[in-house]
Amino acid sequence: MKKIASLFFVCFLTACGGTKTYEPEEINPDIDVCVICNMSITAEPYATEIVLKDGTVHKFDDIGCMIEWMNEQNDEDMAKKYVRDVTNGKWIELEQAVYVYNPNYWTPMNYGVVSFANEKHAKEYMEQEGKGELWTYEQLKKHRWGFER
Amino acid sequence: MRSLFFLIISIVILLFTETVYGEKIEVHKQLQQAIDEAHAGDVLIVKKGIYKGPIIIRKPLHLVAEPGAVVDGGGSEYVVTIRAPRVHVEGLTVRNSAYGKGAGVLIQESSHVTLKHVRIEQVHYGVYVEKGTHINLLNNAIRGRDIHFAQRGNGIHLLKTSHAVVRENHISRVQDGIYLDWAKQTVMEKNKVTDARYALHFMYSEGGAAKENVLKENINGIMMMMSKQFNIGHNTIVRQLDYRGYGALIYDSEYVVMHNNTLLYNSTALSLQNARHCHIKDNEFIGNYRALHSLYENPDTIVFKNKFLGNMEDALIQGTPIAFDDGHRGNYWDTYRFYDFNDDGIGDTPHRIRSMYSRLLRKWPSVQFYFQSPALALLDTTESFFTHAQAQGEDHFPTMKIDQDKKETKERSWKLLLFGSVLFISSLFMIRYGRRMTYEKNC
Repeated sequence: MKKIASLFFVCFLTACGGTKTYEPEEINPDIDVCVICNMSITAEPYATEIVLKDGTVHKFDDIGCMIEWMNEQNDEDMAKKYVRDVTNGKWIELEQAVYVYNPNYWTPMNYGVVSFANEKHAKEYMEQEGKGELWTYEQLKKHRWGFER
Repeated sequence: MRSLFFLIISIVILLFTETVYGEKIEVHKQLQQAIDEAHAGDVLIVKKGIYKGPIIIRKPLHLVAEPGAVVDGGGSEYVVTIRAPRVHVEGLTVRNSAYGKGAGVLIQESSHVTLKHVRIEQVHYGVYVEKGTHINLLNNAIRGRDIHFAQRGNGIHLLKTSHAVVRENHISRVQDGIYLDWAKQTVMEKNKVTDARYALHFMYSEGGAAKENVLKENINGIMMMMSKQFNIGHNTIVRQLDYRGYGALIYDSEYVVMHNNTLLYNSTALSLQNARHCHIKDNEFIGNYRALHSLYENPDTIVFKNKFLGNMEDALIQGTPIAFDDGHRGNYWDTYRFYDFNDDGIGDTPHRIRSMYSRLLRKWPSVQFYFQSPALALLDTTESFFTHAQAQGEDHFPTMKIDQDKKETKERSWKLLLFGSVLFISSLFMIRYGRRMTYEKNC
């Protein structure tokens, strides 16, 4: 009986002490709109998210909108920033993703930056589009965001 | 000398004649073959029947289809592709493009192309125009697939296209009805768009007009983003009732004149978000959950001469204050309760857009039950006496009556009074005459 009680106690402690994981939320095109531009998020593979430390999830339709929002907010409040691999919709952390850029790439807000989980997917995309340049996160940080065409 | 004159005349005629019609050819089968064999300027009469797509037109041609002439793409990416100037397609039915990509009609790098009375159905995009000029899309019917709007394409997509005229089209079940993507000088008139995400979607576009369109039961009627110099007038924007539905949303845009529109029964009729140098005037905001929403900064934007009638909440100002009058005229607010003692048609005190009720409504949506109730009128009036109550904005020249209606009502009253008086006097005479006749008979 004591063993069972201690087992319950341990379970209780584990549940209480569990760390927050800040997982991304699935996109619902019926209700989710971009925090910055108010467009409904229909092109789901291009969606991005920021999970705050208090658990609030902010959703964006384009990585450019997310960067615009980040520039206006306090970085310390943000727990995780997610982008997606455009080829399969898999969520990746902003810092871990690989990027390709061309001003003529279609993205929901025409920022022209597309994210991938790995270089293989990025190169396949560039080959398919016949244009673009491969970027790391460090190169992305230096990008002057805007709309060019 | 005479021959030189004739030569000049001939050259002038040749230069200014836009289309030289060629031979008339009837097509019964093998449409692509008939197109390939035709000469530039020929007229192909497409007889009733189902023709196998995809079809590509690479020369100036007229395709005039008889009723029942259908091009079936069989799931190909683009059912009809036009890559030539001065192509005219009329009366054709185009259907069955691929799922998730492609279009019913693709017009690429062409000028002076017309699609008229074309029916486009079971497609991803309806008409996709890329780098076109002087494209006329007239009286077409475009209907997308019965799938979720996130999976559909747009009805008419104009990419880097200038001087397009989009008139009297019926567009339904698409993602966005008419999408302007870096387009210039576009005219959209008398179109009807229903069951779309955004009926009219402007992105990075410049110049043009949207007039007399009916935008009904979409998520947003008008979504204008990073665009400028548009004239939006005389449209009926009705029942955008989605959770985040807007009659019109103007975001990061400038020099937009929105006038004489009727915005009826929308979740939010109009939202201004970084709208610069815009004039919102002579519109009717009727029966919306929220008539006006202002967010961020909207410098040099004026909202005046509008009528606000029966809206649950007149305005929500979340950014910097916006101007509700042009220095002479404000708006008509049915919630304005003060007087006009000098009878100049302008209320004697400014209309202060506050509303305890709005704040309560945002906190407890169920208080909408008390909308237009005596209790609410009491709350509103009480609040108005507290001049220090925080106002969201001020209309310094609120109009007391809807001018036109006032004039019409006055005229109508005079006519009715005159007609009534004539009727009354005639009746008196008739009665008197009748009585005299009876009296004379009896005598």
